[in-house]
Amino acid sequence: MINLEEEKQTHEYESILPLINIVFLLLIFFMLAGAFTTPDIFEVNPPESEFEDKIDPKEHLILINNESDVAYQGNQTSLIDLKQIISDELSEKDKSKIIFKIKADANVKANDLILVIDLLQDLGANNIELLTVNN
Amino acid sequence: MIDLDDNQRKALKISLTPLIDIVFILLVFFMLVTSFLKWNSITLSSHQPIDELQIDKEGTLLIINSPGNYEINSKALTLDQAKDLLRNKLKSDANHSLLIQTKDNVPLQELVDVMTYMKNLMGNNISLTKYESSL
Repeated sequence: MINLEEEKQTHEYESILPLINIVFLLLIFFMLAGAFTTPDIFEVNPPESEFEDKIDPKEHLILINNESDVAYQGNQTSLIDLKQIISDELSEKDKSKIIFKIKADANVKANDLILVIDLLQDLGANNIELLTVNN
Repeated sequence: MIDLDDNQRKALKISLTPLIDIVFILLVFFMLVTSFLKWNSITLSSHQPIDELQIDKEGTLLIINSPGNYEINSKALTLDQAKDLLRNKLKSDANHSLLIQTKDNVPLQELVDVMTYMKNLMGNNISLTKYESSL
């Protein structure tokens, strides 16, 4: 005798199998293709450029938002404090191996960026990169 | 051989629902924390503020007055004209450098656009210098 209840349950599973397949595929795609990011302390829309020097924007990251607020390694700071923090850091490590990355908003005043670069160079930091995204 | 009655057989069936729940949660998590931005970088260096007498010795000073408004030696010109001028200077001096100065309200995106435009001609011989009023 045909067990109707069992057959009905099997059909229910079959109907959602394509959904599960798609969800699995999406999951695998996001796991493999994306990179983990941590949210920044404030919103920064970086400038666009066609430069192709790939870089990992994680360590020694200086953020500058469109209000010219500055943050270093995830903590908001003033330029005076930034100078002290970086000075301490440079005295502990090999200056030539540290690459400072600046993630600045596309609308920030260019002169405010130059102030930060000057500050870094005055302290002896010569490896400075500005982060941009592809057009 | 193990003899299972109908009730035992039903109990052994694994429900797919919790699995789908977990996969959905994982999918949402990965969608939120992954980023597909490809970061590029521009190497930055700043130059000590210079006066007009030093300009020819140090390189060519390009002043960005506002987006789309450029001048060299107090003469307004387009970026194409500036590039031609630099190309001529590079013929006599291969190490000729370009100094870029931005006036107060020039956004960073404009500076990046100019640097991108000049990059293939000047390579890394591009420096930024402070505008006098921000000293």
